[in-house]
Amino acid sequence: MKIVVISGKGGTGKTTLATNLSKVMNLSYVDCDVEEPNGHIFLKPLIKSIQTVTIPNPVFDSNKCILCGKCTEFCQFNALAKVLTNIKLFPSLCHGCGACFYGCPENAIEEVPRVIGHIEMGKKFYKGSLNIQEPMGGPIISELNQMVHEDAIFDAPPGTSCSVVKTLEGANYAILVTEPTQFGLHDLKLAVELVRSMKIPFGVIENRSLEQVDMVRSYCKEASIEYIYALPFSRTAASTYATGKLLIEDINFNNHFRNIKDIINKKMKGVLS
Amino acid sequence: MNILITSQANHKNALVDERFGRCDYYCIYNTNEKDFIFHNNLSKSANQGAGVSFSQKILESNIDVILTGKIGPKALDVLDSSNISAFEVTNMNIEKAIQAYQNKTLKVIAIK
Repeated sequence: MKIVVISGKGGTGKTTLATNLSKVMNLSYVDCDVEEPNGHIFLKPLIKSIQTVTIPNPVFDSNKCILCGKCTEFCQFNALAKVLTNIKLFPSLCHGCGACFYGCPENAIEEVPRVIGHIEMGKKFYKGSLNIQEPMGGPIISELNQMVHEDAIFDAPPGTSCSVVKTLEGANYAILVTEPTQFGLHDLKLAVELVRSMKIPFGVIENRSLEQVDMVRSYCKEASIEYIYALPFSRTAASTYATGKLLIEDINFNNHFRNIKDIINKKMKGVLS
Repeated sequence: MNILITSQANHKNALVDERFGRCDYYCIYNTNEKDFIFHNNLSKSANQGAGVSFSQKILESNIDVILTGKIGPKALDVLDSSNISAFEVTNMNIEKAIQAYQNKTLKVIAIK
């Protein structure tokens, strides 16, 4: 079973929710926020192994290449340019799709793996990291998807971009975390549009909720969206988070997360293995 | 000699588009014929690498001089192998930019 935590807006509490919930539900935690993974700060896992992630990049054999420039036409990502004496590759633009390799009429291209990041593994813990200056985290998330077979909570990157779509692939359920601000609500709507178009069942958790601000709850009601839970705005939560601790160390939040666990378990009946 | 000017519209009073790879139009001005020929920039809508794609197009178009705003590092890398020179324009229309180029008052963009 795969539960994915997404948000639309950044900083609403995806990692807070995913780390604490993975602990109380005893599920693996998978950090797919490869540009800035931070779940490990709270879970403090012992890393047992590290695996690099690569994408294939073209390398040209100058004896075979006749500078026909066909590869530059096949490339949909503008990663190749034909200049006067050779074909130039811009590795940061290359998606490793192989179109140039398959299309080259002279067989002048060899595909060579290039490291773009790595995955760290511990007990019930996976963390993808994209190397600095690399623009494309998708292949690391795909690798995580293939690697994790047990029941797990996936912590998605913020937004509704390709990386989030990749994290959601094959999900049984999505939890949308938001906050009671106009920005939070605006981006929640984008996230709702995304999970609906992917036909993934989902519910909303409102973090830092305030009794007097009703915008998230009333939006959910209007749009017939399941409002799972309100995690209260709390100074204790902020100070616990700021010292790198899990919120479940606090008795009140421990109860909150147990309540969320019960609700999710009910939904996932029959899906949890 | 052919001068390429990135432009915001397809007439010679248009302002120079200071975006290079994602300019709306570009104009090729031939100094002998003194004519302005405008083209749509097809690289503009690229998801990524607009500058690379546009530079490659320029390499194939017999251009001697580029008048634009700023050129990014990847595009400069593509233009690197050519003998094209480039100059930086700020807030001028196409005719003024050509005059400024001919009066040698524009700042050179270092390609190599």
